Amino acid sequence: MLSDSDRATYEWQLDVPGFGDGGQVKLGATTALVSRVGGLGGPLAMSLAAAGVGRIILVHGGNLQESDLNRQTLMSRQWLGRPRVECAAETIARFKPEIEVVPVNENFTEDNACGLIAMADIVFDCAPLFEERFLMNRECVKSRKPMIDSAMYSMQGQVMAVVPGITPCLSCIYPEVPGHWRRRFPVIGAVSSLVAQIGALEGIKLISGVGELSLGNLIMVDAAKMTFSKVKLSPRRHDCDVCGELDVDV
Amino acid sequence: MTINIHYRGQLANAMGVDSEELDIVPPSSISSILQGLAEKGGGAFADIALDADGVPRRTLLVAVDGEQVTDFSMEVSANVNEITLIPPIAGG
Repeated sequence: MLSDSDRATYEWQLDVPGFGDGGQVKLGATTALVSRVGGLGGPLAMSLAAAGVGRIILVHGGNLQESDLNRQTLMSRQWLGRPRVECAAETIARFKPEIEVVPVNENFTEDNACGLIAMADIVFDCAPLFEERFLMNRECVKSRKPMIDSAMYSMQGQVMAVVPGITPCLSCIYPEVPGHWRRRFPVIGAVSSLVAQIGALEGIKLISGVGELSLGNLIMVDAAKMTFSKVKLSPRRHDCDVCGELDVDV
Repeated sequence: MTINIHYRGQLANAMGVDSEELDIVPPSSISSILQGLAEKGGGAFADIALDADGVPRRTLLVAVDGEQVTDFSMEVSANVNEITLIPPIAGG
C-alpha cells in the first residue's frame, strides 16, 4: 500500500505502463545489495534509491582516493581519505532519507559472503576483481537469488542478469579467473554511470515486472560509437562447477 | 570469404582497431581464426585469447552473428557475417 508521500514522490514513474502501484510496492519491499560503490555501483545504488528500493546494503572496503573522483559520483573531494561506503551512504541518505541504507566497510570475502547475501533479495555485482565476482555469483546461486552483473572497460560496458537455474551464471560464461585482468583499467566516468543505469534498470525490471527482461543475453554498450547490442548466451553449462547441478531450467 | 571481426575491451587495444574485415579460407574453425589473429595481433592479443599451448582460452566469449559459441572447433559457414570477441571485464 502506497502512502500519500509515496504517491507524491513516485508519481512520474507510477504512470509508466506496466509499473504502477504494484511495481512500486515491490521495490519498496526489496533489499538490494550493491558491491561495490565505485564508478559503477555508486550511481547504480543512487538510481535504486531514487526508484524507491526500500533497503540498500552497500558493500565496499577502503577509503576514498583522488583517482576515484573521475567516476565515483556519490563522493566529494572534501571526503578524500574517508571510507567510501560511508560517503556513499551519506549521499544517498541526504538524497532520500526514507531509504534504509546499510553501509558495510568490507569487500566480499569467503568469511562474509554467505551472511551478506543472506541479507539481500537481489545482488548487484559491480566489483573490480573476478575473485569477488565469482564469490558473489556462487553465493547467489546457492541461495537462488538473482544477481545483476555489470562491467566496464574504456568506452564500453556490459550487463548480464544471473537468475539461478534459469540463465547461465557468471561461471558458465567465465569458467576461471581471467589471468590477464588488471584491477586498474581505463574508463571514462560517464561510461561507468551509463553502464550503472543499465544495470539498475535490469534490476528494477526484474523486481517490479515492468518491461521485458534480457535473460540469457549479454547487453553490450559501446559509448565510442553509441551503439547497444546483445549477444544471445549459450544455455547453462550442465558441467558448471557453480550452477550445473541446479535442477531448474528453461 | 570475408567476415567482420569485432574486438571488444582489451582486444581492441591489442589490435589497434575495434573492428576489421577478415578474409578467411573455408573451412576455418573459430580456433584457427583466433590463432591467425594472434599471429597478426602479437603477444597482447595472444595473452588474452589463447593459452600457452595456443588453445583458445575458456574465458574468451565468442559470438557468431550475435550468438555465443562455446565449441571453438566449429567451422565458420559461408553465410556468417560477423564474429565478436569479448574478453572478460569487471567493475570498479
